[in-house]
Amino acid sequence: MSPVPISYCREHGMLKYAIRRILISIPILLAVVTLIFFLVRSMPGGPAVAVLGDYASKETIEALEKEMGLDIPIWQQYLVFLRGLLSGDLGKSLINGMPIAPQVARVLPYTLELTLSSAIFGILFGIPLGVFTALRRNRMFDYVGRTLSLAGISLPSFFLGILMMLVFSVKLDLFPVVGGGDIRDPIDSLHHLFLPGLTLGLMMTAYITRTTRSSILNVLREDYVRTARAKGMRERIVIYGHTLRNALLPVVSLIGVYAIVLIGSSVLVEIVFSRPGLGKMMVGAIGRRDYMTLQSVMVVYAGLVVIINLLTDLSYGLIDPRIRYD
Amino acid sequence: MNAHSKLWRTFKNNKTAVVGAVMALIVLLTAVCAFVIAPYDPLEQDVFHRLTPPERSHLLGTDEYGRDVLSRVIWGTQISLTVGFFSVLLGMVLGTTMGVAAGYSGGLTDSIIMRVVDVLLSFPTLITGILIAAILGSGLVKLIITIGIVFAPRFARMAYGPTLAVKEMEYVSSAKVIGAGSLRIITRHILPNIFGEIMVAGTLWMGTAIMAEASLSFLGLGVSPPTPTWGNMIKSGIDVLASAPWLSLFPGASILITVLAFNMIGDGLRDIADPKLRA
Amino acid sequence: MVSPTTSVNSHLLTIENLRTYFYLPEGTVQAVDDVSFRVRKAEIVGLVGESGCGKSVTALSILGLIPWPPGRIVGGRIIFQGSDLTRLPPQKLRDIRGNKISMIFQEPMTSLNPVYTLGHQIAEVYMEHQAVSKKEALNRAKDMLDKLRIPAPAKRIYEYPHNLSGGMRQRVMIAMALACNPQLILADEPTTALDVTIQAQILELTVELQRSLSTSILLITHNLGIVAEYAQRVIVMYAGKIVEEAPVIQIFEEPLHPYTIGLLNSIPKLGSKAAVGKRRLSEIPGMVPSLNDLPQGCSFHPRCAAARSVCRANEPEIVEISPGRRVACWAVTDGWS
Repeated sequence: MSPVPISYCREHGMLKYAIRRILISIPILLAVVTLIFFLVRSMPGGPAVAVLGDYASKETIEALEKEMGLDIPIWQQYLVFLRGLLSGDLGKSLINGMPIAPQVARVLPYTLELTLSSAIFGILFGIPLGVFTALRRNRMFDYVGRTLSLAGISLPSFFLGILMMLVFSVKLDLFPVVGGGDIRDPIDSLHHLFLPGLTLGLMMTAYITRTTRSSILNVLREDYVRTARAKGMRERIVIYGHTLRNALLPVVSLIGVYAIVLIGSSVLVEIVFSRPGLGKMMVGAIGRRDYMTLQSVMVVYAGLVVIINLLTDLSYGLIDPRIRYD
Repeated sequence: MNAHSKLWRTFKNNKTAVVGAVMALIVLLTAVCAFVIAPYDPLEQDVFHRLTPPERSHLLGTDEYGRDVLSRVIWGTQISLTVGFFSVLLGMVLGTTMGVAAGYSGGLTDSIIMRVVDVLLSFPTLITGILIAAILGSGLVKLIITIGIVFAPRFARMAYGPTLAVKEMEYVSSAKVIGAGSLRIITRHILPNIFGEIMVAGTLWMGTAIMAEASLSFLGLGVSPPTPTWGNMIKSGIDVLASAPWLSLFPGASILITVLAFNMIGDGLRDIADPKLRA
Repeated sequence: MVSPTTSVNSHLLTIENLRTYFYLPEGTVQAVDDVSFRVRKAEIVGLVGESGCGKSVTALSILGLIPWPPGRIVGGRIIFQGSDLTRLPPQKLRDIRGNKISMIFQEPMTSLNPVYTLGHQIAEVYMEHQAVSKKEALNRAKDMLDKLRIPAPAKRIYEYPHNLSGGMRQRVMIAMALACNPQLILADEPTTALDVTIQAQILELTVELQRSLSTSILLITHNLGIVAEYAQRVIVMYAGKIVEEAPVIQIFEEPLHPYTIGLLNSIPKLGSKAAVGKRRLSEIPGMVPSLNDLPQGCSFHPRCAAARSVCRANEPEIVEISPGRRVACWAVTDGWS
């Protein structure tokens, strides 16, 4: 790799690029949360009706709504909402009146733990597998690899989770069936994390293997790879230097996309394994028509998505010098 | 050898695509002939034979109400394919309209529509789907609409680029000069150009749509029991996983096979579209 | 002129009966079909022909850069410094590439790796073949850029290919090729992708360096003007075979093969009636045949005004009609042209 001094990085636009990307994220985040706010408000029925039942009188409903802070005009509700977000206040649950932010804070680590570990698993296994299947193209290793990764993306995450549960928890009794474990106890956490993490991790691996493979095959066709060989560079440098570095560019941006898909699938896995997390919280909120909680959870998801996109852009800028000059 | 037969030959030579197509065909036939193939009425309960494991009279076992799992899986095929097909169709129509409208109009309409599309697309598909399903409610038709709405932005983005490109081409400006109306320009010039790509995408997304249906039904937001869908069957099966795993296994395997079939076709189509990518 | 009986030792590179075929679904393409020639020390040989005639494939075959699938060398020998390159183990071949024989490619933008700095791409040649440290290699890279008249070389080595113009990028490619003082440079259309004004600069520079280093150059091009200006000897290829070979003056003053004649006639010459618009440029009728569907007999006969029955039936053998002069044409060798 090039011996580029850190000061050179700054000189060549990495910092400016980073700042630009961060600044762009802010209006996007705002747009998303606004959309969430109004979408959630359009849910049928209202929480008051959900709590009191369909036969409650109009006065009772209105009284409860006033108590819940739902009687003020919608624009004011929006401003309250925004102000709350800025100060970290996610409102109160419409069902039990408890503040939502602490609840989110309690379950967020579980979701982060799950998503992060699966993403890392996927990258650690997916990229090498992608490289090896590309290099052993059309041989047995490749056929097996390609079939498995195709199956991996065709398998519903919740079904894989159930299979894992069946084999490892029920039949072999190696891992707990439900729960997230005590987050403060690393061993217990890991024990509970293993199966759900493996489930999502395998799916991530399937996606990344496919992408890496096709990217490497594409780059191998490029002229500059031929130039590297014409210079007499040894094969290891040609593949892991010249080819891989370029091949990883599209893979990195796709990792961001897959990470977002992973967040979606994590909802299903959390349900399957009864694991505490944002997903479980969200589905529960829908069932109870607690749209304040729903809204807050979606806002947190939005934040995660924006951060992931930002990280992806930044890594891309780091690897590809051409992008920084945009 | 003209272009069509060459395409057909490439398709035939692509083993993955062919296997996928055969599998998809089998699934399709199952759905169409459900009435004939299914040994039992999927809704018929039999309290004396609850949760029986697979045996001769019930090849895939029975569920907690004594209903034949095999029949339910077969009828579930109908629902999955129906939802898959119509939701993709809806998404295609909605999305293409949005994308072409944005690309063709330009200016503020363009910016607004495409910004909304970008925002919608940045979110995990499943979570968007969950939110919309929560708003619209459950049921077959509503589910189709939900998934259609979730897919629309993707088609919009796909239709947008080529629309912009074609718009700039000379034959469009010359068409405008002779007074051709916008609609005519769109249908005669723009749509044929994007048609192929959208069709390929549509096929690929059948698989995703079926997964989405299963996921939403699994969460209780899609089609509810007693109507058999693979998703809600897996959901009911979880409670008795230890004692009666067949309740979840067979519908799950069906999802795998069906989605795999469409993905295989999709891979094959992609190879045809861009031979350089051919494995 | 050096007589053909001069011992092999004065020849740097000897290619004997090289055949490189590509196995495609449409059929087998005989890109290089029984090609033989030699390159001497410190000489510039022009290898000319239209697109698809096999000249690039010849160069790639020398360095063993033919991608398999779908192509491979199926026959012949390439002798360099006493070894047959086609039978060399990969490690030894790598020692030669970039070191004793190097190559310059046509498209400098796509031939340079976009994510590595220029300095790195030149330096790695030194590191690979001369086992020097990174720091030392970069230093040498800087000196090389200087030799190639690239301004501010110390800054340039930290820049990327997309920062440079086409002419500059090609100089970088040349720098990479010259780094280890190779004995032979294969220059595949080195200036075709550049502006006309830059072309001359680059070529002058290259030839200057060539002279000072006593390197040989195999100059592959379809541009006869370049060949006339810089080459000492010219080899003409058509449809994978050599049709004529001669010292440069003889090729231009007295071309023998109908294809060569046709090529030369299609260049407008200053002062000629065609250039002044008084007579149409003559062109060779017909089209280059597709390489997996070659005509029977002489590959050129369908387009040749002098074609006779022998041309349709048999492939002409290449014959040395005078020292340093070879032709593959029945009309010439049978004496009736």
